[in-house]
Amino acid sequence: MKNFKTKCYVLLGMFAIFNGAIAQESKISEAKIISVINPLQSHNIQVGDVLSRKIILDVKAPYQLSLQTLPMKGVRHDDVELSQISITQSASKEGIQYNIDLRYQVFSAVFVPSVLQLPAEKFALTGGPQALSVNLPAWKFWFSSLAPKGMTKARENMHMQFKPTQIDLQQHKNKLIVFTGILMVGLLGLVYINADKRWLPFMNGAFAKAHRKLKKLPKNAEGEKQALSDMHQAFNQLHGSNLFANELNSFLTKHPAFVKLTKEIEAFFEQSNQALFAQKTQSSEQLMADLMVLSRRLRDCERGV
Amino acid sequence: MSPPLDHQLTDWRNHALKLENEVKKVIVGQDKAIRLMNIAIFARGHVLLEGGVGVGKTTLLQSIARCIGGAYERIEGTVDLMPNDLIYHTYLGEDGRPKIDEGPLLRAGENLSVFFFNEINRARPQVHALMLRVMAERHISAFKKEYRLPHMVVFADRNQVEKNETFEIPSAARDRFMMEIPIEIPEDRELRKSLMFNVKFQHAENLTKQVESNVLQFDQLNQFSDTLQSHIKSSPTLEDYAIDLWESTQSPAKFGIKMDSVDVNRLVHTGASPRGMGMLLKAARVNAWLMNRDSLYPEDIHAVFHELIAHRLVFNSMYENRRTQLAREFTTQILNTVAVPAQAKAA
Repeated sequence: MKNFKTKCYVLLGMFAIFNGAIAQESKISEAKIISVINPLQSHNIQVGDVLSRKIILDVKAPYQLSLQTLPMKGVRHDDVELSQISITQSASKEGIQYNIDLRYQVFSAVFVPSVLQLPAEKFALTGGPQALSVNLPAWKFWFSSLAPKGMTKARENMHMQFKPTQIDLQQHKNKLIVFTGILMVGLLGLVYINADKRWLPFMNGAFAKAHRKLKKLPKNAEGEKQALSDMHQAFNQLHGSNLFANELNSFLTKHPAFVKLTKEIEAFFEQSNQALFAQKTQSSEQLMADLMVLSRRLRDCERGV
Repeated sequence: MSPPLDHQLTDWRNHALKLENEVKKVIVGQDKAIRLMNIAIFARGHVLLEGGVGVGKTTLLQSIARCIGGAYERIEGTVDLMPNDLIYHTYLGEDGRPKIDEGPLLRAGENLSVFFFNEINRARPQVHALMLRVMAERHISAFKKEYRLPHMVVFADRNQVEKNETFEIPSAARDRFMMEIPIEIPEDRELRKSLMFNVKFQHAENLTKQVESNVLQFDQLNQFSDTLQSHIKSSPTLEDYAIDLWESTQSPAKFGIKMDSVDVNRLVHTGASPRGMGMLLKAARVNAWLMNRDSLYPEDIHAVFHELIAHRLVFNSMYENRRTQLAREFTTQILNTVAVPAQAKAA
């Protein structure tokens, strides 16, 4: 329990320090860290590896970086030694921009993987009325020993490896499936509505056949007679017996899909009677065109589209 | 000078439709039978009525006879009825001496418009023979002179249920009748209720008097019938259809006609006769005229097909006792199966 309390205090302390740093940094408007480039890899760092940090720092005039108080080359913090420090600067009206390159070398000789850090650094500013400084936070990394201590099982030195997080493509996959499905259904629908062939199910209905036949007929009196005959045959086939104008009600009761074309069907029977039995002269071309339209609409009813 | 043809046709049609409406006022539930009898009157054909007892056949006939105008005569078929009973009857006069008077067939002379032979199948074949000759020729010799009956239409009735003491009318004789019309009891419950509870139907004689008399001019029917027949035209397609219908009554299998209960090849012995088909077209033309058309449609043939054809068909004897049911099924199958326009001929 005591141990737990200690940990809590340490954490609170760290939090206070971190907050203080942020607070101090945020107070300084005369200097600002533009960017910090840390090493790319934060694991599998071994003894002798050199790690570098590059800092770009803007300092407003009249302040400037105190070169005397820079971290000392050769200073070692927890087995991490500052092996090199180089600074370049570029001046402007507003102030000076510093490019600070810090290079550290790791000298730790522990035998178990452990967390080390490139130390936090403090850059003092001079030239102004106040004594200011800029804090660079520490950067932590995992240190790996070159070899385990003694003859131990590899398992003891193994740390859990996390699988790299993959980008979630499931949502895109779902969308792709849905849109492909809609596309296929739409294409099938278009084929179903427009195709005359009989390679899809339910496509070989009586009116589909009649429509196919009508398209091949000549637009003359003979064609007209054959077209009427084909249409009547389609009606008869669907009705199960000969269908005449006076039986349309029972036909429509049996086949409600055609109800919406009641007027057109009645008109067809009247036209047919006029052409076949009353011998009234009509334009064959016009009649054939009308029959083409009607047979197509009846075919659509038959297919339920 | 006779009025223009169009006026004649319209005028007569109005009268024909009025006749139907007048009869419908007193006869309920028999609209189809009334229409068919109207067709027979204008096609100048004789009619055989088929139906049970008490269904209103006599009232129907008397109403129609009243509308047609002219004289109406009636005779009851009995097993002891002899041909001479139609021609004359003998009685003792006031002076006590035997006398001879004209029988029901001759009594009205040329004014006879409707002759009703009740239960014709109870009469002997000799009577049938005489009656059928008069129906065909519409004249008869008696008392050393020629009696002409030019306007006479015979309505005969036969009871299909009772077979005792009856003489079946041979097929050749049946063929003389243009139609055999079934008179059936109405199916509708309201109509049945009306027939039972409406007191106006209790007195047939009073009922008939409600019908307007002389709606038609009976002595002009023959002439108008000829006019009407030549006015209504038929197309080659319809003529082909009528021929197909005729052939289908003779060779049903050729047209793919099938029946559920029997083999059609065994059923039919003889199909419709040329006279029967001629009468069919005659009646169909009247129907077209009543429908206000000047061309024959298949529907006109259908309207009269069963009543024109069924009694003309000769079935093999094993099926004769089921004639009514089988004939109805057979004619229905013909109309359902024979296509118009015929596929092969349309090509």
